[in-house]
Order: sequence, then structure tokens, then C-alpha cells
Amino acid sequence: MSTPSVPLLEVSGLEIRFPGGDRPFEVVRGASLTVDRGEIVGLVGESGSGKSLTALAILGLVPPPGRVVGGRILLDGRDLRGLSERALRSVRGARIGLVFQEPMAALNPVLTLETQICEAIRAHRPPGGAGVRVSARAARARALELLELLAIPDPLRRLGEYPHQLSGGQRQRAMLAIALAAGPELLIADEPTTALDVTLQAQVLELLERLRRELGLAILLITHDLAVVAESCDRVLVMYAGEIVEAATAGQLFAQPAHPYARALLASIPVLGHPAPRGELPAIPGQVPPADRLPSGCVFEPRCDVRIDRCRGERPAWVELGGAGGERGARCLRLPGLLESQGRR
Amino acid sequence: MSALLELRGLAKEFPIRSPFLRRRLGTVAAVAGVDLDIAAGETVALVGESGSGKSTLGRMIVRLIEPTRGEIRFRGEDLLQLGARDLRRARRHFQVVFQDPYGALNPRMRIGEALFEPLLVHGLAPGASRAERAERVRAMLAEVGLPAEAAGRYPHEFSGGQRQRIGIARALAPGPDLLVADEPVSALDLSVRAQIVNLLANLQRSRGIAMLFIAHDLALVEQIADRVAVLYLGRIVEEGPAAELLARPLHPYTTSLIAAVPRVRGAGEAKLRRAPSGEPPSASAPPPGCPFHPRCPVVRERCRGERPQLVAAGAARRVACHYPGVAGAAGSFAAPDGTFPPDRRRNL
Repeated sequence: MSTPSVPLLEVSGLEIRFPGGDRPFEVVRGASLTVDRGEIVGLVGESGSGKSLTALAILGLVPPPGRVVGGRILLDGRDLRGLSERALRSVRGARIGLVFQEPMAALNPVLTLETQICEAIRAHRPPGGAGVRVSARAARARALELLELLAIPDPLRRLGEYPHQLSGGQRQRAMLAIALAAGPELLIADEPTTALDVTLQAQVLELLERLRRELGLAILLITHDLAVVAESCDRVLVMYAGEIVEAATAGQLFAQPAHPYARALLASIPVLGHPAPRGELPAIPGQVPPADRLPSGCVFEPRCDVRIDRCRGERPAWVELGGAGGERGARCLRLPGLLESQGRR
Repeated sequence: MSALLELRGLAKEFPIRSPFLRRRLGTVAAVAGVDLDIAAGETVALVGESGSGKSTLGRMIVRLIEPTRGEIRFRGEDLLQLGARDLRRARRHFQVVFQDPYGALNPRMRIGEALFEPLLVHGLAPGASRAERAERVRAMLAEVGLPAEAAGRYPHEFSGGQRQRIGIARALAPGPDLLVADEPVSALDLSVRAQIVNLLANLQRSRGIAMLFIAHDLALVEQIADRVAVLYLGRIVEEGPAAELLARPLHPYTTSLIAAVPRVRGAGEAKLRRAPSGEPPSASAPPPGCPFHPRCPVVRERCRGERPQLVAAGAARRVACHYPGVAGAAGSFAAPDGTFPPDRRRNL
């Protein structure tokens, strides 16, 4: 058993590199994060920010020719980067579950739910039966239990059904059932609600919250949707162009974002009940830089409204901002001064 | 006030075929009879969950999908009665902006050609010289905030936001009176969405064109629309001025859509969002009575047997509910005066 002081997941200084035309480029640079037991941590960023690659790196699944070239990935204090493929495979599923945006891509269309969930249960030998093969009967009972836990209506009948017979929301739950089959401690959920309508999205987020509460599950929630983060996360990490630019509690981030990117992004998103004058949403100018053509200093400098000359030449260091959340910080040369001057205003 | 666009009983049914022998088993009504007017220069938002029929409706208006029944009157002229030639002539007046501009641009065509093409198709630039063409393209690019040199480049050289600017420029090229924008920002990077929303709003105003804005994001809809029509299972269940409808929804479905919008949870504050239960029923087997009744939090006996008609509710609003406004107090966070406590309304 682990000591309580060791976080369940601790990633530090993660670097992911891809070979480029002229020279290789880093798509994730110095990403550090922790997830504790029973905690929901949001990793939020736009497409190309490196959030999904960071998640894949935790599972040892960075697609070639990409490679993890630096940093540590500790699960319960043990570095996953040193593990063999075989050992990694036993970590995936058994200790870390994974769900994707598109359930139809993860579910096998020609197998019933029962077959798929039982396979996952027996392949990974859940903690209770370590080292022992789970009987078909026990696996089925566990599968039924999972469907009930995930509030899938009429679970007995659903077990015998195929993915196409399920509705969109039920498929998402079925995928969760498979991910949770072996009783993992950590769930990595990559855009689990993006393909869903707001009403179903709300249901899935409520479900994740319940899983955390009832199973003590730790969840790393990867999303581009700040609303989803606001709704369900304890802590949030904001990624932009391959870097974690801010870490804060959800409350801190939305009350007073520290990094100019986070602040500008929050300001640019319309708020129901408080529309900006027509055509005058506070937009962020410019585009997200491509990974092979990053600015040499701060990655957000070309779009930043509070940049100074230094920002163009110097890559900002991580600035600890303290605060109630403990781990608050951001990567910006203007901090902490910027936050203080805003606080005064 | 006479409308620019009038939809009357517009419907689209798709056949359901058995996987074997392609036998026709029945029909599914994606759009089940819609009446809607759009005035010149007005922005009307069409909202609803996926499967509500909002995209099908938009595509029928720009004649990409052939309606099964109904009328589409554009300046009083029924587009469905036009012959091929007249339809081609009318087309320049209504244009569409798609969610994915990349899918709508020919990857082998330079941006300049792609922008000039609609003018050629509609015969709007007869005998234009090379220099005149270049000037027209430069003006089109400038209007959507792109540099003149973009004309010589190919679609893949642009980011998503820039491509959507090109898509908008192309739609505006023939000088339409109506723009159908189908989820125009949902495929874009978060940090460029506001640019495109502002661009659409400003172009709509400067050119005085009408817009049908199809979206699922209610905060975005409030930002850009004058009026909102809420679609459920192919029917309008509520319609009215945007600010009023979003502040005081009358239909319980609208109320639950608003309640489902995620909100920021402040320190120690309980979750405010309530997920409506269930999923939309299949359009191929709509429930009897009110189509929303199986999910409705305030359902009563009458709702199970009798389908409510879309009727006027006050001067500018319409609603299809036997008990309009009943769910408002239970499901929405609107105060009685229709305002929202700011801390509870920060949807992001």
C-alpha cells in the first residue's frame, strides 16, 4: 500500500517530441501535474494544445513517430516510463481506465455488451481476485453490477444487446463500464462529453461525480470545454501550445484567472444572461501557433494584450502564486505583479 | 411587416428501409411541419438537441435537401414551385456557411478562384478583366479580415478560423439577402470563436442581411440572435425574442435546456445544474400526445394524449405547451422579474 503523501499520479517535466521536416519539435514541453485519490482534475486546452498527448503519455500510448523524451510519470510512486510493454499493459485497464469521446470507436460492434464487459473484467483480474481467474459467472454478476452502478436502465436486457442497439448516452455509459471493469483507481476521460448534447452531457458529468464519490475514483478529465471543467473539476490545468500555462482550483480559475491566456479566453466566451453588445465579444486576436512554428519566447506572446518586450525573447518560468488551493501557479513573466494590479482594480 | 422568408408547414420525411431487400418499413419525420418567418435583416436562431431537425431545416431552406411537404416563400415567391432555371437565379439570394469550411472548399483551388467562382456561377461579373477580378477578391478578403495575399494560397495553408472567414466571404460573394449559418463556430478553436461570432454579427449588420443561425449553444445564441426558435423532434415548441425567451422560457423543454447549460461552481456552492432525465425519443416513433411528455418534469394527464399546438403567447411569442410557464419556477434560475443573479449565470 502507498503512503498517503504520495499522489496517485504525478507527472513532472513531461516532454513529447515529434520528428519534423527540418528538425524535431516538442509538442509537449515540461508538463507537470498531480492527481490525488478521489480528485477530479481537469486538463483543458484547445485542439493542438497537447492535452490528449499528455494523457496518452501517461498510458504509454503516444503514437509513433512521437516519443516521450523527458520527465517522469509516477503512479503511486512507481515510474511508468521504465516499464516493459507487458507490465504497462497490466497497468492500463487494471489501474488506469480510459474513455474516449466517441464510444462507437471503442466498442466492438459485433459483440454484445456482456461479452465486452466480461472480457475486460477477466483480462485484468480485479483486485478482489488477484492472481485468480474470474469465473464466467462471477464476471457476469460484476458486469450487471457495473451497469447498475452506471444507471443504465434495464441492465439485464442491455447485457445481451449490441452497441448499435444503445442510445448515445447509453453507449457512453457502456464504455465507462468497460473502463471501470477491473476496478481502476484512476480514470482518464478524454473529451467524454464532447459528442453529447447538453442534456446528456449534464448526465455524464453527474455520473463521473458520483463515481468519484462512491468509488473514490480519481479522474483526469481532458476537455476543450471550460464549462465542463467549471462544472465538475476540483483543480484545473490550462494548456496552450504544448505548455501548462496555469494551474488553479476551479473556483480560483473562474473567479480570477492569472495567465493572460486564461483571462482572455474566459472573457471571450459568451455568458448566458450577460451578452456583450452585438459584435463586440472581447475576442483574442490571431491564431493558435502551429507546434513546429512556436514563438521563441512566451508561446502566447503574439496574442497577448499585456505583453512586454521581454516576453518575446524569454521563455517564462513557472511562477508559484500560492493561495488556498496550494498549487496555484502560472507561466507568465508578468506574474505575480499582474494579478495584484488586477486585484486592486 | 412582410417577411423575407416564410416557412409554411415545411416537412421532411426520410424513408426507413429494412437492411435486407431495402424494403420500405415506414418514415421518420426529421422535420414535422414548421411555420417560421424571418424578416429582412433579422437574425433568428434555431436551437435544439442533435436529432431535433435543425440542420435538416436549414438545408431545406438553401435547397440542399428536398422538402417532402410545405412552402418556402422567399420574398413571397414559393421556392418549391420554381423550375431549375429560376431556382438557379434565386439561389444567389440565400447562401450557407457550414460548420466545417474545409469540407466546403476545393483543396486544389486557390482562395482567389474559390472566392470568384460564385460570381461566375451567378453571372455577376460578366467580362471582368484580370485586374477587376483581383480587385473584387481583395475587397472580399478585406471584408472578412484577411490579407490580399491570401488569394494566391490554398485552403490547407490556413487555420480553422481563417478558413471559416474564407467560407463566410464565399457565402457573401453573390450578395445574398439571407445567410444560413449551420453551427459556424462549433468546429473552431475556442480562442478564435469570438472573432468569428463578431465577424458574422458585424457583416450581418453592415450588409443588412437576414441570418438563420443554427446552434446548440444558448449563450452564443443570446449573443447573436434577435429571435430564437426551439426545435424538438422536428417541431417548433417555442419561439420568441431571444432575450425574453431565454430569461423567461415558457416551454418546459426550453427551461430544461437552459438549466442544462453548465455553470461555474463557486467555492462551497452546491451544483446548480440539473440534468434533465432521459434522452430524446426516436423521431421514427414519436410518443403520442406532447412529444416532450416522457421527459417533462411537469407532465399532466392531458399531455399524454393530446399534442399541444404552437399558439401565440403574448405579442411576440409562440409556445406549444398545455401548461406554458409552469416549469419556469421549478427549472430555471430566473428571478420573478426575469433577471438572473449574476453569480448563477456565469455560463462559460
